[in-house]
Amino acid sequence: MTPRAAPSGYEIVIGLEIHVQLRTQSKMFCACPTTFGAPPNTQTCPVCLGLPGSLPVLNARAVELGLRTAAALECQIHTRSRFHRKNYYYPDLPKNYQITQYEYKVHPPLATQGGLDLPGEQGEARRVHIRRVHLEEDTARLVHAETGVAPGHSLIDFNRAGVPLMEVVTEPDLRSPSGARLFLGRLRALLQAIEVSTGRMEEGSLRCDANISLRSPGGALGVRTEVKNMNSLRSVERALAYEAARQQAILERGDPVGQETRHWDERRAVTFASRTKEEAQDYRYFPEPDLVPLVVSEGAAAEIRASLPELPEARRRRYVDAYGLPAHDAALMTSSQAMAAFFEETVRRHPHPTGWSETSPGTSTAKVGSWRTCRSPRPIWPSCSTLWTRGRSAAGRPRRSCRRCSTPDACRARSSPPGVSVRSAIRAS
Amino acid sequence: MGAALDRVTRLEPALHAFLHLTADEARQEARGWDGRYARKGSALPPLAGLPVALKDNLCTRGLPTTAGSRILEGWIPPYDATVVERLRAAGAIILGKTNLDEFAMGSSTENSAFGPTRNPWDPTRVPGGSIRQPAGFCGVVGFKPTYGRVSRYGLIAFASSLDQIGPITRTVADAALLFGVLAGRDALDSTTADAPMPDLSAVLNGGVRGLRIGLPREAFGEGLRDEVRGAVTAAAETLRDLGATLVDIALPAIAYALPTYYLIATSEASTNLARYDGVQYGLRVPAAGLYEMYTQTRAQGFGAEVKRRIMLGTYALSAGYYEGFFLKAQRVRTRIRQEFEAAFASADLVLMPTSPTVAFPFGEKTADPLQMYLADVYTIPVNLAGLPGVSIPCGLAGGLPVGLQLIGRALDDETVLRAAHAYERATEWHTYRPRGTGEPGTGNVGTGGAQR
Repeated sequence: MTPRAAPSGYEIVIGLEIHVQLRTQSKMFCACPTTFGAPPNTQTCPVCLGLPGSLPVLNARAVELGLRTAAALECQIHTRSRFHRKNYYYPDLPKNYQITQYEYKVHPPLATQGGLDLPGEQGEARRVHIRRVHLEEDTARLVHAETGVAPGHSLIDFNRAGVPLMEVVTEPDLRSPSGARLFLGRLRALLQAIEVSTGRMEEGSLRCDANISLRSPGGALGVRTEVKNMNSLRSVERALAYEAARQQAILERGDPVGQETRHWDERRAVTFASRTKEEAQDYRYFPEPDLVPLVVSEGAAAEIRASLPELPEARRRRYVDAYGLPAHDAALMTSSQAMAAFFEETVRRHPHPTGWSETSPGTSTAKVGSWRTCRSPRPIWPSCSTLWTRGRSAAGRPRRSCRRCSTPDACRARSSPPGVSVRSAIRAS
Repeated sequence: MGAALDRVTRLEPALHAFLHLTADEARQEARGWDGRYARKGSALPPLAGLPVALKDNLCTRGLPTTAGSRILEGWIPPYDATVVERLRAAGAIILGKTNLDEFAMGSSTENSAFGPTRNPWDPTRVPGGSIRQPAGFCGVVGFKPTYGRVSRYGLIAFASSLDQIGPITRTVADAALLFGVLAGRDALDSTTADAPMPDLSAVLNGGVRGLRIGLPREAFGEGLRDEVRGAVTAAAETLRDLGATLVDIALPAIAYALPTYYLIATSEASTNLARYDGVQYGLRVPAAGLYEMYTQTRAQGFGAEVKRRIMLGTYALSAGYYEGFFLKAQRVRTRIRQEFEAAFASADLVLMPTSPTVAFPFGEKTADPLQMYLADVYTIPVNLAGLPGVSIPCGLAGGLPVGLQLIGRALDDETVLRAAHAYERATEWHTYRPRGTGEPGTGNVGTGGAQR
């Protein structure tokens, strides 16, 4: 089986479920801070520990960020939604239920029926429909200790328990792994633009699960698998390509695809079935009696809509119209807040960009590039900080330089190209 | 304080009212208040130096809190419930934590993991379980405020949409005083009402003249013991003599209150109690795997009634049953609330017995849960509707207290207390004390004679 081969004769159908950690100071239902990377179990209280007698209180800022997302995704915002309990037992769930917004006919989630336009190959827009946007609480983090203070034990860090999460669910409108990657990138840029999320997939602040199935073109939907544990845009594309090829091989053998949850193993570049039993879970959803219904007036929703900044798609069209950027360049320059800030600063100092040239330095597969403008004598590079990859490399080692530079020194040298200080522009954005 | 502690020391072996006593701390605190009393001119908070016992489902920082369950044995909360904070701030002194049915699931304390509490009027009988029903069984005042008046933060949840904290006291005035301290919006409980609190001391003596009191005919039918009916009917007549008007009202849906309550309460309980899993706190039964640890901890930690209710609630919320059970129960609950609202168009208060019988003997209903549930037939419709209700002593039947229940409109707690206070002022039932408790007015119980 060749994972990269595009399945022929089958149509790939993909829907995404994206979990977004909201940029709030405090947790969803208590006042504990949400700072990433704090020592384990230092950001907890009776509420997020689920101690007997504790009660949740909804974070108004999280609701506002959810509404900003709903407005930016052109969703229908429901004036009255409810929270529900999703019941299941797991040690990362202190109450053994998660407070979330279940979609039930009498209780809609925060928002439904939206969409996000993607730039197509030729620059035309293609719409991916959004099924729902809802709010919920994150679980604790489990650490399965092989060594250290408690070898062979599972440790629980409750700092993450109760961190505000927003779930964005698409309709199964995506037709290729690269399209899924493109969508996720554009959604991330949008969430950054409206200051809802940092979008850092490597920190888990943006997590993507995918449902994928194959079908004969135009035929009924096939059996889907759910793919989890994809920690970068690139791994979303790779995992889905692998999974499409795997399903195709099964179908071509004449076997049925099993409905199951599969995890992406980045290092081995394969998906594997979860070990947990796949019996149908009954989550026994029911309305959370400890919270009152969430009421959003028409006026408040209108205010939120009016307060949105320029969104990446509008910006992309503006770059095409105002600067005559080619489709590819306009999409790239609006792929993140940092890139957009770099482009804005470039044209502020050197109007009339004449062309973006890309290179693939070193062994890295990531492309970087520079602008030529009519007035600047030298190419203008984005600041290295826009390209810096946080966290660890695939091999588990911390990265010491950005994707473009081979050494930290080269990275530092390039961070402040003569004539342009993009960093300050990025900081200011 | 000394008198209260002496009485606890004397009666506790016979009654087993407490699960945890804080006598030494209480004495020490009392001495502090004595000093402040002695210093003239210093303003004292409303409950300065008054002894209060807390039901053991209220979280108390540094004091064991079990909710009557083995699964929480030894757990010491790191925080105070909002009501505990408010009591402490008002100067109350905590005597200890009192017994209850496990997670408040029951009507008799027979479901406590730590043994039953005995009724001071007759140690062979149950004291009841909750607020109004035990107040009725024990001849004292029990007041359940409007749902949302008192914060539930720190109350170990049984059924979140039905649980409500309230005082049990000797007199209505004491209940009103305590209610004034406990009640009010709490930022930590989203379900608390954001409504202004009345000045209770100003309205308490307002009397009942002009009040219309509704008697639901459904509450005086089958299942009600004759001597209870007699005492409650006589109490209604007393209120009429005091200037109230008695009106006939209909609450037909309360016939469905019991099954409705037991579907909603068990559904909520089944998920509220999911957190007792041996992971973070309380009992943990070590086992080979995670699910074995879960199941063995819960098998050993919970008693039979708790398990029964978790199973019932889990069933009612399950796919395929949710619509027929949980949602249907919600619709009946709405219906009951609407019927009360309709009744309050023609009446300012509703009057009915607190319980269909007087305190029953231990063991009488343990074999049949349905019989046990019937002991709450008059109190649970009020919980379902979220209304304020009070039970006050209105007579003796066979030497045991009978409770009169008055129910008011949502957030109209003060009219309930006002009418109860007027009744109490006009009668002497609240002055009767059980034999053998060594209190003034102990004698002559069971004679029906007015003797203080």
